[in-house]
Amino acid sequence: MNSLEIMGKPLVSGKTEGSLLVTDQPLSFWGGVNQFTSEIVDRRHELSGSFLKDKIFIFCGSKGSSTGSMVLLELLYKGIGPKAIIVTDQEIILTMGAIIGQEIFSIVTPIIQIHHEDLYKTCNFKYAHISPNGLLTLCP
Amino acid sequence: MTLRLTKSDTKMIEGKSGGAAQLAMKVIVKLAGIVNASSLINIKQVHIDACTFLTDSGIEFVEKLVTMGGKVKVPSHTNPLPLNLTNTDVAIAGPQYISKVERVKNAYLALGVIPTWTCAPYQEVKLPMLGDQIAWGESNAIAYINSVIGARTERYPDYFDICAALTGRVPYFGLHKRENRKGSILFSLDNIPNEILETDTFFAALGYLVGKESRSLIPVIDGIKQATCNQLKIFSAAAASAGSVGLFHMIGITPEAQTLIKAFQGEKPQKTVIVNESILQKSIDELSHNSNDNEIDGILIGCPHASLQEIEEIDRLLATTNFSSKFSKYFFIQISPQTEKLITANGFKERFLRKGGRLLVGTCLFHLPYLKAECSHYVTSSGKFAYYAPGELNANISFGSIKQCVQIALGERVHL
Repeated sequence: MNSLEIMGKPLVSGKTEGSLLVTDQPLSFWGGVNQFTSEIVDRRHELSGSFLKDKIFIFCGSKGSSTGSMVLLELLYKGIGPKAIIVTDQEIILTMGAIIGQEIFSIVTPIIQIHHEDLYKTCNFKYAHISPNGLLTLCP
Repeated sequence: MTLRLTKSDTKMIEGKSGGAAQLAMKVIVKLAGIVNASSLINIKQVHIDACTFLTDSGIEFVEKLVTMGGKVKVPSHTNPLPLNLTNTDVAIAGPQYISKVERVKNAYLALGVIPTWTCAPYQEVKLPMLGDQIAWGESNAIAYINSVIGARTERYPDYFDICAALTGRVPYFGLHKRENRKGSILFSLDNIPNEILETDTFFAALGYLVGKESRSLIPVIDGIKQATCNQLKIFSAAAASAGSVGLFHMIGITPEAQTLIKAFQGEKPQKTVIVNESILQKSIDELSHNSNDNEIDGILIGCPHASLQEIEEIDRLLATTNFSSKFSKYFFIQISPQTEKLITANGFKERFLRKGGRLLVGTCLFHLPYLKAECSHYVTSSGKFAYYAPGELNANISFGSIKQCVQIALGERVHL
């Protein structure tokens, strides 16, 4: 299988790479992700038990709590955050965490928005490179 | 899209109003770019949520703002703190934890906030009016104030709430604009018996269902005959937890929904969901989690913080019991500091504590790590608590009315 390129809209720009963690279910980072371990703890979620650390996390977007920004910032601050977050819906909760991470702590975590149908294309891949212009290069 | 800035905005961005306002404006401008806003607007008041969740990065951020001379520009009230303000937990929380929370509390006080420390500010602050532009954090409060009052806020993330407070400005987008407040998805109640429609449990289960099905669409609910403020609170909290509901319309109940046409602003719903008794029962069942695994050892009421009506209902139920009888399980009620003053004055606090009840004041069990492991199976009347408890507290959940919760607390056998 060849690699696939998807052009996304960078909400927060940056360059990184990592292995993929993909879901089409929304997730609240507060109440859904453990800020000490990065484990997804929403027991109703299909990825319950997975860890976000160092992953390129691809999902539709946040639901629920406005505190998701603080959870993400703490994960990044402690060095156990995702490498990047890819969303399909408008996402300001996690974007805010990434913006504060950048402005206050100089940690760059790209947040990229892609089309909903592109999310399903990513399921077949295991790894991705993210470019500052929002380009996702997915590798098998 | 180019963002139009006023002279005052520019002054803040250039640092002429201090470093904190400058940083806050930088964040606001970045968000404006992301949401394609062409201008900023003034907001009348803020509800700050960021003080609740204790993180090292959060403490560092707010202290930095204080060092930079930050002061709120508009009335800004606050969500709970991660510490029981009755000081009953000092010994179990430990000095290190308490000192961290003190740093948070003092930093926000230094910024000039109104220290309400409650997740249900609509129960006690000077409310905004229909159409007022505001910036509120805390997902349940956002849903409530947008829907029940018709004020206008977006679902602001934590940290953005502080930035809005320090500048009095937000991007003009989303739910601030009338055209973005129209309903998209219709929930039509079908043959729900009146005796169910009157219950708090109904509103929690409906909120959970509406939240889950709506995701980020604006739901319109048709068929509610009446709803108390308390029931609207319960609905808002459940919907905002199970989905991303920041605004809902209830025909004949909420101010922007006198009719279906008004709620949808003349358009047709994108989707219609029929809600009958069996779908509702399924939602109630889903709110429970592993409820047969072990015996109930905890009761929690007040998520969001209990209103005086809820306290009065509990007081009436307790009045029928023996003076000396005690609760057979941990019974937590979560309230604001203001409510604590009122229940101290009317004697409820003394009556409740005498029976062994536990008051959590100005705080939230989800944010008290030293209390999280106390119970492994809660019964609750709160849809929001039922939703988050399995993950946050690693607890099983049974769902019931306030009456059933109190009966269980008193050791009675109750069929839920």
